[in-house]
Amino acid sequence: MELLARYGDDGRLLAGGMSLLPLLKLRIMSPACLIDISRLPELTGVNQRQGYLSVGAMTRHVDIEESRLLMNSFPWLGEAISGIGDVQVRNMGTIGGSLAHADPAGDWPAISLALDASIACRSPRGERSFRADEFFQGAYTTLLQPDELMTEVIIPFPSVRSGGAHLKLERRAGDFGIAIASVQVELTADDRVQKARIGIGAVAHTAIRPKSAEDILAGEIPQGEVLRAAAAEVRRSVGDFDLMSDIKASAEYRLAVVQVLFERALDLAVARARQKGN
Amino acid sequence: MKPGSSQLVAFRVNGQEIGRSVEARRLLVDFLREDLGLTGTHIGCDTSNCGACTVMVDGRTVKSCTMLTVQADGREILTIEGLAQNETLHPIQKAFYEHHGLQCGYCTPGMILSALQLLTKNPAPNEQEIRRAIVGNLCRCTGYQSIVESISAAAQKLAV
Repeated sequence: MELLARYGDDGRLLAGGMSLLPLLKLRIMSPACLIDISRLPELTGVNQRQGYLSVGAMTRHVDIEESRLLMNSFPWLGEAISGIGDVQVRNMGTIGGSLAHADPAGDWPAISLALDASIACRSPRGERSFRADEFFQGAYTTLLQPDELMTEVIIPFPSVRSGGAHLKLERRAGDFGIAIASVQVELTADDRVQKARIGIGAVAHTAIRPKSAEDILAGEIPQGEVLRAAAAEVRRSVGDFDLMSDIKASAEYRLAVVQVLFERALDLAVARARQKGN
Repeated sequence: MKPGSSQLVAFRVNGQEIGRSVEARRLLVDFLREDLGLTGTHIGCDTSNCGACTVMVDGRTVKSCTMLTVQADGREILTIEGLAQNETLHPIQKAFYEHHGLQCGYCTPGMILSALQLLTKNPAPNEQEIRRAIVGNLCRCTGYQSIVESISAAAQKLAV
């Protein structure tokens, strides 16, 4: 923390290094000082707290995949995480590193939105936390200040009848996504949507929470026309942002794909929530 | 750590204690190959795509071209050279040999360590699971069929 304050913008926290090291090698970044935070046990691990799960910022993807606490509440996280990079990347990469790096095509920003997560950080000036939907400011840009260290990701427990899904279209296994749709729904006893959270990644220059699509679902029985309307709204509202368009996929293609991807993810999430007893 | 500064590191490589002063920016793969002479770990793409540089750190596979030597301080490193015991091939190596799990051999050390990672966690993987386990290892000869067969055979070998 002292080092970070001393070096400010010239210092960089090194978590798993899965994004930072390639950037250093390409000379895109050349910080004067790297601060390895991998040996801070208080930043690692998944813990149950009153009403929420706390995931240490330095918890590696593989440890999240293998965390019974997380998988019990969010079984769909397993398939979401198994699509991040490859085994070697998941062995090193961390949740906090991914969120702080805020790659628009990363998986965790979209997942954190669907999980309704909050992100806690600390600096010599004190502690504060952000909701995931305010944290991402743009490509590789978050609200973290140069002297701040992310400490934990806070994930509220879902209700019993909840389900989620995370679908990603990629050119080949382990590649960055062309479109990512992450969604979690909670249903009432009579199958109405009590809460829906959506995270869209890889389409715009930042992960997006299309709140207007969540509003369409709220209180409704999620099937048929309702699903289609929510998916159309996702496309419409995401279309208002500055979209990514590159050699992998044009903006139009990404928009068209994300609508389909989201509808499938929502359908899957609802089916999974319905399977849970009342 | 500052890029050009040197730091003392101490770790075990294939069971042997190593203590050295290394530049903070030195990649683990360069340290293994050039300082220790362990050239079984290959550099393929040097951009963390190909997996030829895969080694194990504390029982987990990592791409050593995307890890600094200083990050490995205090840890246990296993490279391909540490697998065979007294001239006897490890069962996974034996299976690759018997089932022709290599063509040019460049990706082989990484493939074998990824296979070891898989089989430690899942001793009886199906084909799909094997293929998923080597997503981070590219074979430019495209000899995947034999690699998958070799890993499957290794699983059976290790089970008996």
